[in-house]
Amino acid sequence: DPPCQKVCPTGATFMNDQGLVLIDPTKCIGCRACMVACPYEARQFLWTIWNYFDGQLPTPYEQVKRKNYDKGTVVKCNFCIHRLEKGRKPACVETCPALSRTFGDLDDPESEVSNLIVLHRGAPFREELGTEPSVYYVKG
Amino acid sequence: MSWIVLIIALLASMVWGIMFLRQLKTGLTTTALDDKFTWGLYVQGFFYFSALAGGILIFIAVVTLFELKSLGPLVDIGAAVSFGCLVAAGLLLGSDLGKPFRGMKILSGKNFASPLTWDFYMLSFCGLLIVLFLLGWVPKEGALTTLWSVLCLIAALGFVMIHTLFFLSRVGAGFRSQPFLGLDTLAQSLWGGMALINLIALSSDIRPFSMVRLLLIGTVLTLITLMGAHIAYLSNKRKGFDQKKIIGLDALILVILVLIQVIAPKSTVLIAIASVLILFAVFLEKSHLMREYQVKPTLPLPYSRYETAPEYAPTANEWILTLGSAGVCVFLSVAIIILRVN
Repeated sequence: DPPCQKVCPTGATFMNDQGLVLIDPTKCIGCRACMVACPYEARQFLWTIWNYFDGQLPTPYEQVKRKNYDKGTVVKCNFCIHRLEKGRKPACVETCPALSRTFGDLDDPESEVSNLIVLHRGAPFREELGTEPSVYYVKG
Repeated sequence: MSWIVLIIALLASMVWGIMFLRQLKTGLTTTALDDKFTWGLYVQGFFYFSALAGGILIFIAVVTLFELKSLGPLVDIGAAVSFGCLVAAGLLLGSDLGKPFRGMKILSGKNFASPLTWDFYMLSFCGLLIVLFLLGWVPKEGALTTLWSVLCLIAALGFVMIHTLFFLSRVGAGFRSQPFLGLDTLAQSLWGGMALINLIALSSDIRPFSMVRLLLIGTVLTLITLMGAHIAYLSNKRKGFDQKKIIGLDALILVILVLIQVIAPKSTVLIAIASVLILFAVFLEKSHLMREYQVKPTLPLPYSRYETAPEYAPTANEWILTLGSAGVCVFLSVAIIILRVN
């Protein structure tokens, strides 16, 4: 029940079928109401986008990497949805050397994440707000 | 005199235009805003001018509804000033957007759970109602007049209270909405609106009622609605001095008004000073409101009032653009008044 989705006047913030809260940068007007509403401070505003070489045009790498980023819009973690669509895990989950991150289907009681939550009594951050986030924290 | 004011206001409006274009190019990095403090002077100004517009509109609607003909000239001038305030509010909101030219996407978004959507519709509706009046399409009396007045009341009350009916930091604190918190917003809107109407009356030499008593009632009502917050801040020694300045100013205004009523109830200078202080107090209270919105409370209300907000001090660019918007308000108001007189 994300408050950011409720306050977004253009519908730029939406929840997809998988329960991920995403932002459509083409609809975002940069009002930042979602940032005020978010109790987790999980959003950032692109006040500007700096090029690596100051005063010059973006490099080819920057042109590719930043095609989904628009100055004056809000961004947030999207769980690497472009990787999820290819059946891969989010980058932070794959790269964590301590294996402290697990990604999976919360609706599947047999999934690894569901088992971890039950086994270690995982809880979301600020559960009392009733926002029902999909990120749970467990004590290993 | 009005032409001099018009020219100065026009120059200020041009300054707004230049600063806005500059900000479009550089982005909101010209402001002191950051991810910790996302809404600042622009949104404060938006709330301020829209509150004044709402307060004046409520006054106009009540006067029209009850056919208080002696206040007729104030209604005409008040409508022009209310329109100017609405435009200034819109300009400041547009200045705050990261993508101001996408603003119309609010129409296609159709998210009526969002207070900003309601802001947009209600403010636009208020603007439309005022334009209809300024064009002379609202008759002086009759059923249409009554309908217009009622719609003005609904629209003005709507946008004044919408944020506390739907909003935001209360969700962050674990509460869906707290409608009674809208009372202080409404009270300040009426308080500021009355002060502005009072200044208009003084400058137009129209004095059909006891202005001091009206301002006194407005001050007392506003202080009652703010009492809970004021007591919380006074009892918190860790809190900064800012809120205590606001409390001090509110108390000073109350004392001044009582003294005026007792000693010099017809003194135009003192009443004007009190009105200006009220406008300043409402502006400061909106500043405090902005700080409150930045707090991510870990405790529910009222305990979250003891939590501190991040630091913020507007840049010169923000002040210039905000004052430029005020210039637009004055320019439009005076221009409309001159056009209607001629």
